[in-house]
Order: sequence, then structure tokens, then C-alpha cells
Amino acid sequence: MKSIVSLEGVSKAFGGLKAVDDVTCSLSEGIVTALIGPNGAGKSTLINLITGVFLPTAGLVKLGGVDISKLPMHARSRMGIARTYQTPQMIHGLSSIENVMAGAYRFGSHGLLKTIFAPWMVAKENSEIADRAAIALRTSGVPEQWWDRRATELPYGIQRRVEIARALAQEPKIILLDEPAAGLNPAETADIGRLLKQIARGGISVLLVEHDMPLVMSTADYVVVLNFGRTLAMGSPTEIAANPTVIAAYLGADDEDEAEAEAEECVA
Amino acid sequence: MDSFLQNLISGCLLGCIYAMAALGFTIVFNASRIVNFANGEFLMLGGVGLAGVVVTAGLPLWLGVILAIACTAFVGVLMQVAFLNNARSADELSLVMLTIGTGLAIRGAGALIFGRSVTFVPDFGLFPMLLMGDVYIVSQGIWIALTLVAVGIALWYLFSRTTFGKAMKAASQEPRAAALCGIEPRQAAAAAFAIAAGLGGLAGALLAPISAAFYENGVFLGLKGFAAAVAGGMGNPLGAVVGGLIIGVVEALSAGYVSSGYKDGVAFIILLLVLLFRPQGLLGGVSVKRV
Amino acid sequence: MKSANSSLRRNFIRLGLLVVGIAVLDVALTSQFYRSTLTLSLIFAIAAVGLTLLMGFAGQVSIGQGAFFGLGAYSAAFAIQQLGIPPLVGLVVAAVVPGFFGYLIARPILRLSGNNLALATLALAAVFYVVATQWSSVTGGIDPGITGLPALDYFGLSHIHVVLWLAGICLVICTAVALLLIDGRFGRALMAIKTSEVVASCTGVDVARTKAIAFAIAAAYAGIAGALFGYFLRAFNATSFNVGLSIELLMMVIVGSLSTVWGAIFGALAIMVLPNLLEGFDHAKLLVYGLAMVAIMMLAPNGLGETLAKLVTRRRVAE
Ligand SMILES: Nc1ncnc2c1ncn2[C@@H]1O[C@H](COP(=O)(O)OP(=O)(O)OP(=O)(O)O)[C@@H](O)[C@H]1O
Ligand SMILES: [Mg+2]
Repeated sequence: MKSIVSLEGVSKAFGGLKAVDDVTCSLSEGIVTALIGPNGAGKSTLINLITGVFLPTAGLVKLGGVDISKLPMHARSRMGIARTYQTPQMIHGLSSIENVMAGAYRFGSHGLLKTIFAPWMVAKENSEIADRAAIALRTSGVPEQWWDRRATELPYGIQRRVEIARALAQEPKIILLDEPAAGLNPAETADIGRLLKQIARGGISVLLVEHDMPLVMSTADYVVVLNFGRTLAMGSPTEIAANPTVIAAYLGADDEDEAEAEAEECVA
Repeated sequence: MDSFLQNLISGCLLGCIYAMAALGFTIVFNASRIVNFANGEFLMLGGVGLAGVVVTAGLPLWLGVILAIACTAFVGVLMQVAFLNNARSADELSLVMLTIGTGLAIRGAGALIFGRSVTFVPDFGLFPMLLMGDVYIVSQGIWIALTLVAVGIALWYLFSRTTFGKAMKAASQEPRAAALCGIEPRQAAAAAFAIAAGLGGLAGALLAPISAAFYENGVFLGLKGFAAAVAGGMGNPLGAVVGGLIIGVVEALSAGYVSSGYKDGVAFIILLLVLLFRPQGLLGGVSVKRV
Repeated sequence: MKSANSSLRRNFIRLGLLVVGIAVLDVALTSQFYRSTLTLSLIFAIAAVGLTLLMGFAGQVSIGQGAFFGLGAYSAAFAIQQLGIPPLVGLVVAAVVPGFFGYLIARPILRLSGNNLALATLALAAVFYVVATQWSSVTGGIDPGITGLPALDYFGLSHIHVVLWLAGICLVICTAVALLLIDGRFGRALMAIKTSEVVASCTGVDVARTKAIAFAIAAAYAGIAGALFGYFLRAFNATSFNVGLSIELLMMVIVGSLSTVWGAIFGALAIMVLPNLLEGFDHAKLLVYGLAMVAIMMLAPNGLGETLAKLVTRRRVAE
């Protein structure tokens, strides 16, 4: 299995708090890697480190063996890193298909000068990009009736799918999903799981940050457990489920707290 | 050398006025996170109001000053209670526009009520002009400096010795804590607007004898007050005073040594430079904690 | 995708209607005064359209557009009077110079946001005003300012007709460019930036550069408007470009709508025409302006034009 993104001793401190502490791991092509851990473990921060929202205080982030630790977000995105957000971030004022078209930004070439000197090309490029967006929307299972609706007005579950479609439209090498099933019902959650597997089978590396253990167990090929910013364990889902430290820190000990916290999150 | 000292002194006096404008701006910001673009109009109103009451209506000066402060404070409270409190959208941009709109309205009302003429107000008297060698301080200057000292002490007492003041300061950051002290964020904001506007009215009245009262003065006075508050570090009252003095002095020195025409631009260039390169203010260390 | 193209078509039909409207008004308006009001509305609408792009779409406030408006007016006048460039080419100069300056300033200034950006741009307008009043060798300061710009009497038409049509054509071109930009990938990038800079960056948008371009476009539009303003008056001085101008431009956008360029045109028209319709309004102009702005921000923070449009469509749906 080819490694797409690898982290080498990555740390991120906010003041005195080490949100991510010396994490080394690798995200491979064609599989779903799950990143789990209690609230505040540093999962979202790790995604932000890979996408470049934060620069690491130590360590290297590599994409396909190339060090990207210092590159700005947009450069990383253009190199093939796409993501979704813990709370869906629909672009205001755009329909869902336009949101996904915004994801295909790097495939367009129309800027200020072309608009002034070749205005007739705008519509043409738009329809090409809309075709890409339509494919992504179909893949992620957004029913066509929603495509022309304002994305911010869509039901939560659909927004999550539109976000995945937007990431897919970037034609990335890796997709980082921050709790894509939060706030969804079990049927929708299962759908998302199937979708992620399908995406991974297409040759993309998928990183799934998730609290929903059944989803992780059924979807992930490989699991990384974070606790207080450190990697607690790594391995196949069955290994992780049987790992006593993990159970103590996460699965068993504060199962109830976890459920509660999750419920709170859904409300928020 | 003497002209340098003289410039320094007139800069400091002007700086005292800017400091009062900046304080008003800071107090409102701390209580409500609103950047009040109408703050300069409070100063304008103080000056124009004083001119109207004293020069046009012929009332005694002391009564004029009190009236100017009271009316301006009333306008400030009205602005908060009637407009800002009822804003439908509370995002930063809408609130900025609201204060800009209120500023325009105050300027328009000022022009309508007190006229559009440039009016000189007699100085407050009482103190003689201070002569030290070739350097002098005008009598009004002594009023200005003493007032800033008095205001500074009063505000320091209010914000660090009284529960009400402490709660007011915290209202925007910790509404819950403030509520526990029995102060609603809205009350705190209204009080802040009253204080800021009253202070602006006072500063405007103090300035009127030195530079004439005119209904368009508010724009530049406001901007210079902002410049002072930002230079001192947004939300830091001590910084506001220091910032005001810095702006005043730099302005006076550049008027003396560079060009008097460009002096108005200096404050704005300082504002721009500070925003761009030291957004935490020149006294940065003090405000870093606030994040 | 069908909807995207049809909205573009609808917008271009509206643009055609705008041209027809200008032509009808040009014929119908008999009073020279009303014709000048119309001309000024068209001129200011150009700047307002640019500002809508920046504020409504990219979400970046500017209370400093007056600076670019003035810069455009001065650069065009300089080009004509000192360099002997024809007025039409002067318009290009008036777009390029402010656009360039806008781009240069944008990078540092747009690192700011919200209150600080508003303050910084306001300071920019104030600095420009001070420089315009003081740098007399170029601007003529307040007295005499710039005088003796040529009368434009192409095709045997009178100056005011020519400027009216010049402004109309510039407005149509600028609006068309704005509509195309909004409809294309640049516009989607702007809206992504307005929603969240992280979201925009993570879809590959170079946020700093895109914002700077939007700022430059707004500056260029303001510059063109400024140049036309100078052409129209043939003489002007620095007082035209005080901080109040920037606020007036801002108001046009707010009165109209933050989310369509049509709102900007509506806003410019409203701000220019309404005061003239109310007789004896002049002495209370500021007060009414201010109160109107307050009322709009309190009741219709997305813009009066947009709120009215929504009311109308909602009623139509209800019927
Ligand atoms: N921008 C920031 N500034 C300061 N601290 C931060 C910042 N972002 C995250 N943190 C802190 O870093 C730690 C890790 O946060 P992170 O959001 O990565 O957790 P998480 O694993 O995603 O948790 P959750 O399951 O709740 O989403 C937390 O203690 C959080 O408070
Ligand atoms: Mg998280």
C-alpha cells in the first residue's frame, strides 16, 4: 500500500497545551483510516495540521514523500488534499451544485483577465465544471431535487453529503473527514460508511475522524487512536477493539460521557 | 529648542483631547465590543452645543458646559437604547454601519439645530496664561490638562474600585459574571455610551475655545480618537491616554517641522501603520493578555 | 448548471433593459437638472457595483472607496492635461492607476477584518483627502483644484449627452464584467472567502491574492467613476473627495443590496435622486441620510433593495 500522507513526529502546541504531541503515522492509498479519540484529543487539530490551517510546532507533514509542512493551505489543496468540517461549512449564497463547483476551483482557468477578454468562455467553463460537480454529487448520493437549492437551507444530512461531494470535486489524493456522521441517524450513518468505502476503493486515501464506533468498526481498514494529543494505539479495528489501554481510555471508561458529549454536539 | 518645547506642549494639549475621545471609544468597546464610529460626533456636539448655548443664547459658560455634557450623554444613551439595542443583525459590519449612520444623523442634527457657521467660544478663564521663559501654556490648556487628570482618576476609580465599573468592563467578555453582579450587558452598554458621550461632550466643549466649533469637526476628531485608541492597544484605557498624547505630539511636531497642511494626515498614517504592523497597539504587552 | 446559465441570461436581459431605460430617460428628461442627476447616478453606480463585488461577495468592508474615486479623477485629469492623452484613453488610465494602487495596498490591508478593516480603509480615505488638499502642484488643492477639462462633444452631441452616454456605457460594461466574474469561478471563490477563508483555501483558492484582486477591481471601478465625475464637472477640487464620499458610496451599496450588483445600481439611483426630489431637503440632508442608514441597518440589514425585492416575490408566491 502506497502511503499518501505521512506525519513524522508532528506536534502542535497552543500556548502550554499540546493539542497534538509527537504523532507519527501514515495514511495509505485506497483504504479508510479512522482517527478516534475522546473529545479534545486533537483529532480536528491533526486535520488542520495536514490541511495547513495550523503550522506544526515540530515535525514534518509529507504528501507523497514531499515535505509540505510549510506550504499554505491553497497550495496543499491543489496538490490533492481535500476535507470536510466538523460542522458543515456550506458557502453562503450558493446552491448545492455551485458549492460543489467551488470545490472544483483548481480545474477552472477563468480569472479576471479571461473574463474581460474572453467573456463568452465563462458559460462554457461553468458547464464543464458543473458536469464535474454533477458526477461528485451523484457519487455522494445527493438527490437531484436538492442540487439547485441554496446549500445553507438543506437538511443537515444532505449538507454533509454536499460537503463530501465538494471534496470529491477537488479530485483529491486524500480526503479528510471530520465527524461526517455526527448528527445523522443510523441509516444515514450506514450510508456514509458505504460511501467512504466506495471512495477509498476508487484509489483515494480516506481519513475518517469519528466518535461513532459501529461506523468506525464497519468502515475502517486501519485505526489510529489519539489521547491527549498522543497516539495511544494503531492497528486493525479488531486489534483496537481488543486493546486494553484503548478500552480503558476510550471505549469502556467514558462511554457514557462520550455519548453525552456527542448528544451535546448534535444540539450545538 | 523653545519652539520645539512649545510644539511639544501644544501637542500634549491636543493629545489630551484625543485621549478623551479615545477613552470614550475604549469604554464603549470594552462594554459592548462595538467600535463606535459616531464617537467623534460626540466631541463635535459638545463644541457646537456649547457655542450655541453660550454664544448664541447667551447663557453663562458653566451652565453651557454642563448642558453640553448632559445633552451629549443623553444622545449617547439614546443611540445605544434606541438603535444599537434593537439592531436585528448583530454582526460586526451591521453594527459599524449603524454607528456610522448615527454619526451622520448627529452631524446633520447638529448642523440643523446649531447652524453651519464656525463659532468661537470664549475660553474658560480663571487660570492665567503660564509663562516659562519663552514657552507658554494658554489658560484653556491648563483646563484641558487638569480635566484629563481628573477624568483619568475618576475613570480609574470607577473601573477598578466599584463593582459597577468592574462589571461594566467585563460585560462584553463575561456577560454571565457581569449579570451575577446585577448588571445586564445592555445596561452596561448604555452606561458606557453615557460615559463615552459625556466625556466626548466635555472634550468638545474644552476644545471649542482653542479651535472653533464647527459641525464637520467630528469626522477628524473621531478618527484621531480611533487612531489614539488603536495606537494604545484597543480596549486598554491607559493605552488610550498614552495613544492620545502620542498622536497629539507627533501631529504638533510634524506641523512644526514638516508641514502644517499635512499634519492631519499624520494621525491617520499612524493609525494605518499600527493596524497593519502592530494591531495589538504600541503598548502591546498590556493587551496581549486580553485575547 | 441549467440554472447558472439562465441566471446569466436573465442578467444580460436586465442589462439590455438598463440601456433602453437610459435611452428613454435621455429623451424623456427635458430638464438639464434631471439629466445631470441621472448622469451622476450612473457614474456613482459604477463605483457602487465595484464595492458590491468587494463587500457583498468577498465580504470585505471598505470605507475608503472615495480615495480611489479621487485617484481616478486626478489621474484622468493629469493624463489629459499634462500628458495630452485623449479622454477616452484617460478612462483606462483612471482604471489602471487606482487598480494598481488598490492591489498594492490590498495585500497588507486585507489581512485585517471586521472593525479593523473598516477603520483602516476609513483612515486611507482620510489620508487621501489630506494629500489631495495639500499636494497642490498636482491636485490644485482646494483652490483652484483641477479646472479647464475639455468639453466632450463627440458626434455633434452636447457635453452632457456625451457624458451621460459615456457613463451609461461604462456602467453597462463594468456591470457585465462584474456579472461574469460573479458567475464564474472567481465569484464562487469570493463567496467562499466570505463564508470562511479556511473553506476557500481548502478548495484551492489563494485567498490573499483573490481578495487583493477584488479590492483592485473595486478600486478600478471607483477610479473610472471618479474620472467620469471629473469629465462631467470639467472642474473639481479636493473637497469632493472627503470622507463623506466614501460613506456615501458605502450607503449606496447598503441601500441597494449586498448580494446583487443590481442593488448597487438601485442604491446609487436612490441616493442621488431622492434628495433632489425632496424640495428644501438640502439643509436636512445629512440628518435624513443618517436616519435612513440607521433605519435600513435596523430593519433590513441585507439592503433595502433586496428586502423590498423579497417582499414582492413573497407576496407573488403567496397569491
Ligand atoms: N485554535 C485553538 N486555540 C487554542 N486551543 C485550541 C485550538 N484548537 C483546538 N484547541 C485545543 O486543542 C485541543 C484539541 O482540540 P481538537 O479540536 O483537535 O479536539 P478533537 O479531538 O477534534 O475533539 P472533538 O472530538 O471534540 O472534536 C483541545 O483542548 C482544544 O481546546
Ligand atoms: Mg474535532
